[in-house]
Amino acid sequence: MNPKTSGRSFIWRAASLALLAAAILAVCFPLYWLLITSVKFRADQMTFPPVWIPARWTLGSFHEAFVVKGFGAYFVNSLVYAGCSTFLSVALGSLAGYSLARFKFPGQLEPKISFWILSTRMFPPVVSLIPLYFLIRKINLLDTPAALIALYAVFNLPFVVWMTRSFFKEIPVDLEEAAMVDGLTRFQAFGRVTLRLAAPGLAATAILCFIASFNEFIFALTLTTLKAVTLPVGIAGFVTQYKVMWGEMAAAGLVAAVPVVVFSLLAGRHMVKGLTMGAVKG
Amino acid sequence: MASISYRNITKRFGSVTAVNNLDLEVREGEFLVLLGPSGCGKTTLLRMTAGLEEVSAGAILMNGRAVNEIAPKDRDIAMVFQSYALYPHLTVAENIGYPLKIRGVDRSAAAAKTMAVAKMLKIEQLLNRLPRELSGGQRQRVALGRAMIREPGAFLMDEPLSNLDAKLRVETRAEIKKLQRDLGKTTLYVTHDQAEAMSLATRVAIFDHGVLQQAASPQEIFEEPANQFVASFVGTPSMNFMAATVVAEGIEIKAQPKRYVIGLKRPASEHGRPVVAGIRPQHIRIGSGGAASALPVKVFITESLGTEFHIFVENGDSKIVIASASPVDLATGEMISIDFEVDKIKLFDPATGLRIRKW
Repeated sequence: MNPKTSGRSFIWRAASLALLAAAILAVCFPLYWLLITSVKFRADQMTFPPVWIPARWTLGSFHEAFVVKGFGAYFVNSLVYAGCSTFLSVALGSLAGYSLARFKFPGQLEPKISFWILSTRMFPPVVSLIPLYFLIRKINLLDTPAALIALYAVFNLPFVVWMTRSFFKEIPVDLEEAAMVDGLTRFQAFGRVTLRLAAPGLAATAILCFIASFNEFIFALTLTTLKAVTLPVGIAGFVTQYKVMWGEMAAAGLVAAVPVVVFSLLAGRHMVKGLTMGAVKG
Repeated sequence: MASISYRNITKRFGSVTAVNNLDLEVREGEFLVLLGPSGCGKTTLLRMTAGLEEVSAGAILMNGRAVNEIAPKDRDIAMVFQSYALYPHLTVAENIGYPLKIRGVDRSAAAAKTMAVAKMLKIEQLLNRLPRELSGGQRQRVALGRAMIREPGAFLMDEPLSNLDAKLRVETRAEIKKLQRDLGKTTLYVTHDQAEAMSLATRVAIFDHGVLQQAASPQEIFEEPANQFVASFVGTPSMNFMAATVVAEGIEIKAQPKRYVIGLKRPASEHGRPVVAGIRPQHIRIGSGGAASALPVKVFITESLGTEFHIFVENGDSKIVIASASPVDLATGEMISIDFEVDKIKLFDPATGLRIRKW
């Protein structure tokens, strides 16, 4: 091999490895920092230089957050809201996506409807916060799970419609028609053939919806006070007027990351498949 | 087994009429091929028969019962799709057995049936594979198997061979024909390939622009075309058409350097009527040039297909194709003379395109 090119390829290789290492570091460091902060004693949390590997450790922060401050309830709230809203938006959105992908609309209306649905995502959601606050107060749903579940479901709906519409467009209509001739009704064909084939895409969509709802902060902060508080809002409560409770915050943050990480690991393969599904014709 | 009747069937897509006022009877056990160029409405007709497309007007009857409002699953038909439409997540065995599974047939009975069908199609060694692991020909068989296993009243096939290579297509064509004759099931088969239509069909229905042109046996379609469209669509190379006028001795074809008359029996009253004379390339002889009935032409190009030889010739503005069974040695620009097998000439009305049969 030509020494010049081999030298160049070595530099390329080294550079790409260095870049990869930097990326891994950037992703993993906050998690690592969260982990060690959550198990440090308060005195070790803010020292400089930092304690990289704590010699002594404690579960005091976890105790404080989950037993004393009742973070377990917030955690359950977040799981329930994210779960319910994800179910709603995927169930409703995939039906809408299917209709847009399959049925003929009079007067070339399909792209217009699709664009209109997408356009509801084009303004920053926070713009609607104050009107929604008054609306929800008017119907007496402030500080209730129903308000957040409904809102999260609605916010994710356009996303689900667009994702599933492209997934369903990828699935040949012949398959459904074959199933109908073979003995299924249209709805059964949708459920047993189309939905089955779109499952990876739906799983990926569901995960993204779940993450978005699970992490949502500003609506939860504004629309809840005591009973329906979610984990992100609760965590923010550790920043008080007098001190920042770093240990408890890290402990709660760590636990908050668990469902999403578990979900993504379980469905990771599907997720990659799902996200690339609409990308190229097979 | 089923008979299918189409009564005044019309299908419109917006302002486009895909099928126009069709009346057609498909007899029990018949292999009817729907033939025509793309966009002629043949696939639409098949899809309406399957119930995948609604009928705009008219009625479809199966065994005398109107099925317009009946769902595809209740029509007692099986369909083979152009794309095969195999379920990608199911194995070959599961694909073939799917119609039985849907109907809740007992599992061991379904497995036995699947095996029997697979054996008939010689794919029993593929039963555990997924569709993506199969070749085009194998997929085709699985699609056929899935249609056969239900023993439906009728088979609908939408260009099932169009995705196969030429050699496999001819082989599979013969197998489908054998299978249909053995099973004796009414079969509707859509194709744009006239060779496929002629070789498979007990009867061919030719469509153009949504209108049925002729429905008859392949032989009759070939020998007695109802109109100029049918005459030109069937047969390779296409039939030659020449503008002509009825004269006292027969018909006169506009030709160089002098008038060329073909002697035909004709009623005197038709004198002066313009007609179109059609003659198949196989029915033109290449002569020595001396005969009085010969037409002088100039060779434009020749082509050899191995078993048949085509000679493209010109006389003035008219271009004529000749098919010869024996090799010819002709150079471009060479002058030859040809004459026609007079009894094979078909006459058409230039305005309507309809065959003039009365002479």
